[in-house]
Amino acid sequence: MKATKILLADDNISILAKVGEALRREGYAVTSTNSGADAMCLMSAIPGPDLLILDLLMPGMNGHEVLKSLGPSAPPVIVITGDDVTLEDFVHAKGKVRRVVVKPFDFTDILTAVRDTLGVRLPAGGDDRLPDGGTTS
Amino acid sequence: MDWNSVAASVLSASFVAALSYAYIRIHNARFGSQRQTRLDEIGVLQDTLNKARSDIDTLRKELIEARAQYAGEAKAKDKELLDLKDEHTAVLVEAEGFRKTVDYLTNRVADKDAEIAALRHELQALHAGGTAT
Repeated sequence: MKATKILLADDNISILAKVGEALRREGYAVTSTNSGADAMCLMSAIPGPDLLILDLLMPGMNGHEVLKSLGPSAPPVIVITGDDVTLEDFVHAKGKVRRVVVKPFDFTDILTAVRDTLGVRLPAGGDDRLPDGGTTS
Repeated sequence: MDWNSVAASVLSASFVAALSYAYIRIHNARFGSQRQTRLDEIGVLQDTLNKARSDIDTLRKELIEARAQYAGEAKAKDKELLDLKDEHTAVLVEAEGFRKTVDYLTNRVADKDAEIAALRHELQALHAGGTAT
């Protein structure tokens, strides 16, 4: 079974590292980028990601601009932001934004949003692996 | 008309003219003084007005600078707050990973303890059986 591909776009390196690592532990194939422009490039790749996790405030092309540039074939989007916004603030995004997760969040929040958005499709791999990605003897 | 009448008329006219002249001089002097006072007052008021205008300009400039400074500081604080939220999120996510690792290892230790207990029990049973035979 192929792992679900997630594109994670956030300008904060710690978020990219920790959230990316935690999602990989759950079996997702995560690609990270710290810029909106790079996120747009990565989404145009074939095959593109199954899900985009997008920060709103990024230098250069920010999350709002990425949302405006999304085409009809773009994957569903989970917005992660420190701003006080709700899903209703993204009606202009043509239904692309499925969830808004406000920072600070813990991993359960983002994992729940990911699973809800992907239709509770469990990622490849099981839950019997060591949480830090190591192996057991 | 006799000379006395003529003289009286001339004297009377001269008196009236002198009186009028004196009145006009006095009036002019008084009016001129009042006018000067008013001009002085207007000058003082204009100076006050000019100073007030200058003060307003200075305050307006200070206000613009203060607004710019406040906007800059507020923006910097907003950025700082967002950065802190990012770091907070990273710490929460990492802590959850640690927690899961600890839970996993705790469960593994418990499994191993159970295995050891079972083996020990089996060993004791074997020892007991060996002694009996």
